[in-house]
Amino acid sequence: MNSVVRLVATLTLLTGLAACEAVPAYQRGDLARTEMAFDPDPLESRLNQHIYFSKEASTGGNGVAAGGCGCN
Amino acid sequence: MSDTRTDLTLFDVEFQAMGTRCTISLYADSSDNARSQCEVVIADVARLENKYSRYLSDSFLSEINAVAEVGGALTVDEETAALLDYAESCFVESDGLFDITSGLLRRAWNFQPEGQTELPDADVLAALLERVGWDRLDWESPLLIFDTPGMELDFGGIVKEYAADRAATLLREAGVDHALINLGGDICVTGPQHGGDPWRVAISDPSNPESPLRLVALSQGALASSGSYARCIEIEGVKYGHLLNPRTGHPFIGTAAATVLADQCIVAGSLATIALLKNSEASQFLEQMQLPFLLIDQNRVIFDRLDL
Amino acid sequence: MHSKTLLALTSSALALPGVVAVSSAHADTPPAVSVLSYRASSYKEDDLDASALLAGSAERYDIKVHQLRYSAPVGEKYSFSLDSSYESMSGASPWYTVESVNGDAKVAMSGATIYEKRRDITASGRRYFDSGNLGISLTISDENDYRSNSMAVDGSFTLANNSTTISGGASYSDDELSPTDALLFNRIPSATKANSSAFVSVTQILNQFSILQSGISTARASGFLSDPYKLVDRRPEERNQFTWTTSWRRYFRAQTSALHANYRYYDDDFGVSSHTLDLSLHKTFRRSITLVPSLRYYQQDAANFFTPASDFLQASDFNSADFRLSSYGALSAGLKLNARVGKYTFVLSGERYKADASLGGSGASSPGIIDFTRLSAGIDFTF
Repeated sequence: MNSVVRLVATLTLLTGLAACEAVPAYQRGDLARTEMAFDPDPLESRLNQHIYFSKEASTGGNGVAAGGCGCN
Repeated sequence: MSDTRTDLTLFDVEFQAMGTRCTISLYADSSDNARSQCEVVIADVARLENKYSRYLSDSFLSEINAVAEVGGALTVDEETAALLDYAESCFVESDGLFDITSGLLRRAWNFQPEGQTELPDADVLAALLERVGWDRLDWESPLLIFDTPGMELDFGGIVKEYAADRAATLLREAGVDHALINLGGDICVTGPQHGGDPWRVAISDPSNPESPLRLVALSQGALASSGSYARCIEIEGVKYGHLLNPRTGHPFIGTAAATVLADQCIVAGSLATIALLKNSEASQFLEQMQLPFLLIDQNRVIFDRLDL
Repeated sequence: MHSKTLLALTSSALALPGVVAVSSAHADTPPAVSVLSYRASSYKEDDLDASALLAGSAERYDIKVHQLRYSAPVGEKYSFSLDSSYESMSGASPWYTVESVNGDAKVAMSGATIYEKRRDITASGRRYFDSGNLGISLTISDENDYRSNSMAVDGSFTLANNSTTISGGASYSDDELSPTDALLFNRIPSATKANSSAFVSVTQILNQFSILQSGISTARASGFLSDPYKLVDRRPEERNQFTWTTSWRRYFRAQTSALHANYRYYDDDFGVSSHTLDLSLHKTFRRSITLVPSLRYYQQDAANFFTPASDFLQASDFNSADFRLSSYGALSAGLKLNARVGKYTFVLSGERYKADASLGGSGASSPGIIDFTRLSAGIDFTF
């Protein structure tokens, strides 16, 4: 199971590099909206990561890891 | 490619659009070829004029203003939405001085020669001001909502500059890398002259339009000017320029002119206009932009910052 | 440094069809504005079901968090941000779990109410280049029985096609535990652990309205990984973790809404693997009000050495009855409201998290899993 997921993950990374339709700068207005950001509310996502980390066995996957704490 | 050829001559292709004289200067082997390379631009400028002219009753702007007149909402296309977004940025960045709803105030002021000899009635101005203000309408892209009836939009301060920017892109896409576009003083270049020399653009003395005040070298980007010299009126010995302050409903006392160089003509043009609307703070505002500019303020003090 | 006005007008101008940036390279630039944000949050764990309680208080943690963030551009090439939080908690936590006569597991809670405080501060700096950026951050987290110092570096690089961005980073943290009342309860008096992690991701613009990000990360924790406060808890001294994350954003112009979808796969050599899926819709009204309903689904398998009841006999090398290592799943629903008034944005949000053993993956479940409710309010000031 794990090795299958790892393979799928790697393939997705590679296919992500494949050319998609080029979007000219003047058509990027909607992509640049704040609500389209990967992390539109850093304070809330920081708190949520901290809470989930203290309740669940899983962690990581949100860019670089935050510092440790005694909650887990 | 045209770049490698040496038998090219500089041609000026002239046309009339948006109420002004327009010129495209470019290198070609014949006048016919020069003209045909410009057709795409001439057609695009005409398209924008037909879409955004407030003088044409079948323009899209007139359609918008018909809704604005009675109040209500309409959905606009992508291009108009981007222009409204731009107008909103100008409004925000100028603290409400640059306002595309302020054209209504022209009903109280007549800037034609010998147009007006006394100040308008205060009640008339107050009534107009109640229908002026970008913040009175709801712009919820792509939906434009006029809650206050009797308003009016005017893209006059941005569409010609926008057309110049588009012209540069269209020519560059067609491989024309050495052209200068001049839409009645709103200037864009696609690159330096053939051979690498910059274009030399003359900035005229606003009080004496025939005499050039300064030559400026332009290899890339754009130049635009704003001035209240062209049309001004004198009432009871006081000179008023034609730029109207949307907060007071009054034009500014005295005349001034600003020329700004920027990457985009539309940005250069609105910065020049905002500077003049800032009146006594014009030079301070333009200094903050850190762009080359030339300003003649209402005291006729010349700020020459073209050689930044 | 160019003025904020020029940056604002230029970015609006570049959104016009046919208006392009003059320089061909798309330079990465710091944010145009400074933001100061404050949030006050409260999250309260639901009381333990009386039928699952053996001894102690059924009341669980009640936690208050204050967060402050300042971020600002520094010149044309740098940005800086400072994040800090102060957390105070009170309540009881599970001490041990036993199997009752009818075979159900029951939880014994620590008798006294525990009061704890935690403070953390993160300082980050970022340098922007023509086609990328590089950042570094330092974090200190401090509690009376736990201290963590960590450092992270990350960077991203946009390829010549201007549509693909490659990002990567690494972090290291050095943690020190000093459990309270160690002598009294025969706890370990002090211990250390270290965490290191690395990630790589690819962000791809798919079209005018959608963007996709996918990345993998690995992390290794080593040192004292057991829970010093549990009566019985012994875990391996090393844990290797892996995640694969995919995030998708799609803008719907007619609905003025952005849809966010995130999926994370996680596994580690404790034997835990999990799936996390969250969806949220960011709907904007009148350009100034944003409403964000969200849903999150989480499911995990139990760790290999998880036992529903505490293994007082220490029959196996490793054992833990910590509910966080049990098999369970959780559903949570949230709602957020943002209202922008000039330079201020007011934020109100809440989340309800419900855990259920029946939603879990493989392995044994625990009676100690918890539900919680979070409420937050705050304000952002942009200048």
